[in-house]
Amino acid sequence: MKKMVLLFLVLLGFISCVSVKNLPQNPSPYISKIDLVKGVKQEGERIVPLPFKGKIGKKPMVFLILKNATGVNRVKIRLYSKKILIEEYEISFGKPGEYYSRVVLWQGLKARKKGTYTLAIFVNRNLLGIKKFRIE
Amino acid sequence: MERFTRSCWIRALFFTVLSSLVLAGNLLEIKAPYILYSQDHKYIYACGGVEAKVAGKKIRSDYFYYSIRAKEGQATGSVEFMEKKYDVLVFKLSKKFKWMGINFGKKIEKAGSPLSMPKLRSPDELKKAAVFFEAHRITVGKYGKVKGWDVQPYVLGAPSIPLSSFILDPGSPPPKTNIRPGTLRFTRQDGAMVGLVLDIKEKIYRGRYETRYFERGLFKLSGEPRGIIFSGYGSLGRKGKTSWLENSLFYTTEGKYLDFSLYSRREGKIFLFVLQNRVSSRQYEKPYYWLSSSLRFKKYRWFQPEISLGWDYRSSYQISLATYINPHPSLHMDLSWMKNQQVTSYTTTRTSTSSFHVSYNPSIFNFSASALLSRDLLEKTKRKDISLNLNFRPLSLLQESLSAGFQFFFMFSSFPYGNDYYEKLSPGMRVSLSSSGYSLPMGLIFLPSLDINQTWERGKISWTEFNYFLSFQKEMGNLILALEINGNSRYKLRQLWVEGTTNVFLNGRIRWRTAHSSASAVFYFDRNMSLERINIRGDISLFWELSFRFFSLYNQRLRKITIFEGYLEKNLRGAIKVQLGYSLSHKKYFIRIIPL
Repeated sequence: MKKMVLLFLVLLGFISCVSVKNLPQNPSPYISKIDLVKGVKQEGERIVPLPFKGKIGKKPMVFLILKNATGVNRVKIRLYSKKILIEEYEISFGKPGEYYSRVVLWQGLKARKKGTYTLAIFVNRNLLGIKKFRIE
Repeated sequence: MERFTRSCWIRALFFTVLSSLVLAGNLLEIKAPYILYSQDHKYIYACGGVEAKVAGKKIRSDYFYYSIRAKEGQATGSVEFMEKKYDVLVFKLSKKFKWMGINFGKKIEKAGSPLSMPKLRSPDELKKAAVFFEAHRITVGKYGKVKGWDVQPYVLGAPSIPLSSFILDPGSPPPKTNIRPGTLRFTRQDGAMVGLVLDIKEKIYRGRYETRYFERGLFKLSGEPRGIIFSGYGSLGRKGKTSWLENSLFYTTEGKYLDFSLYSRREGKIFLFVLQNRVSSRQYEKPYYWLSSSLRFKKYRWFQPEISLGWDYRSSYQISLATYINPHPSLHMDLSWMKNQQVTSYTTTRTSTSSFHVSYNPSIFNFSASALLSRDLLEKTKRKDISLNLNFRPLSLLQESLSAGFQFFFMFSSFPYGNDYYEKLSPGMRVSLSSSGYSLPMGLIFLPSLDINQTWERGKISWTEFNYFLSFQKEMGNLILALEINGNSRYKLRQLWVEGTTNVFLNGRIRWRTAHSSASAVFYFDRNMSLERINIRGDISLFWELSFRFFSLYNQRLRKITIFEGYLEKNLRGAIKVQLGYSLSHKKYFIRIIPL
């Protein structure tokens, strides 16, 4: 019975005309989380964000999780206020040819006044994420 | 060579025409090395050199997000659109194609129409769906039909058999008259059921009718072995305007039951007219017909009289006059009179009923009074019901930690009893005290509440009732422990004698609760404070959006679990709920499929 089921599955795979190498594979890195936090702490091997209780404080930290990255990568964080660039940071990570399923990055920002700000996150010159936030 | 070139040209032309015919009507076409489609979220994510065609316009980008439900999307990372480059392109496809391009340089520069940024879903979130697909090419039709090429389906996270092309989502039916498959289910009550739906979407008539075939005989289920159910509804009138006539129909071969109704409603500035006709019949029974109409005078908001007539084409009829009077927002009155004659095979009744209701709701109290007088015109008897209620809004005492409510009521009823009338007169009052809780030492919370009811029957016999509830609670993180004392006493005072009963019950409660799971156990004790039964229930969230639910009852006297039911539950695409578990009462394992 098991052999019959296996044969049926193989036949079905054959009929479907899609070989495994032709199947879609995710080649690009992607941001799975952008957050503004008070800080980070290390718990064993894990980096844990410390969120703000309520409103975002005047000196937040950008906390970022990037997945599916290969090789050397450059992450650029740009901060805008009233549509004008006010702060920019660049973080590099990775070694040539290595694969990173999950990378945690963080960057403290300068103290800022009350207002609405926009963050733009670029990975290797490609814009991957935008986040609007308000400091109160 | 020339023939070969010509045949190549003909083939290319043929395939171009064919593919343009196939792709005609597509709202969106995406080609990318990696496309992810989640059926639960109705959302597409694509990355790695995406080529998209949205409403006939080409977009090239590194990342592409599109929500089929919201009909909005975003392209990011080296976006090329209408021969210009952007960091982000936001678009919406509701009625017209709208777009907004943004560049994040020294300044944020925007082009196109102002649009809000859509909520993006990450691949991690999409992969949490019960069913998702990876593909190289996807098209989305006007009515949400999604087709994919080089598809790798995933069921509960496990890869399934790859397919060269597959319809990932059939979408919603187009807004034109169509016939499509309908109900497909199996239940113990109906057996296997298959349906065919006729959806009528015409200029002057819209409706949905379904013919269902059910089969019980093959599965040895009780009831008629097989049969047909026909049901549906429709409305006559121009689209977007009030319909002239509405109908609903239900017919089943089981018991040859038919129910058909017609409804028409015409509303002007002064009058509202409603006409309704209902026909109902069942095998071995006389058919039932009822024609009714009502006319309401609606010129004034505070006074709207209405006359209604009903007739069964034979001897039964009903005439009624009713109105409400609402001179002030806190004062409301209802007046009605009705004459009714019902003739059936064996009985005839003829009644005349008058009723009056008034309610007055100022901020401090709430007063209501109602009176009903019903006369049997054949037997020459009367029935009277009068009631008065006065409720005071709860008073907050002791810095709002104690709430006190007072209610006074008076009830009188008189109805025929043999050759005489039975009269019942019972004035009474109710006092209720409840607390929002007091903190005790050791983190205990004390929640008391008390109800006192006092009633005088015919002014002679006096009833006094005390109901009290005391709860001691202790919260420890996600765990709540509670001890509850529930008591009630009822006393009857007859001149100098006092008769009465008192019952006190004790319950122990343990409750555990997190954001997604909860479980509780309640221990019930009898009057002698010995354990009587334990009731345990829970709802625990597991992986893949699966949840485990259970319910059990342990009886201490029998020293055994009398009821137990536990099952794993999965909600599939918000359309059906699948339950797999065991029931001790039926001593059976079960699989339940519940349509939502």
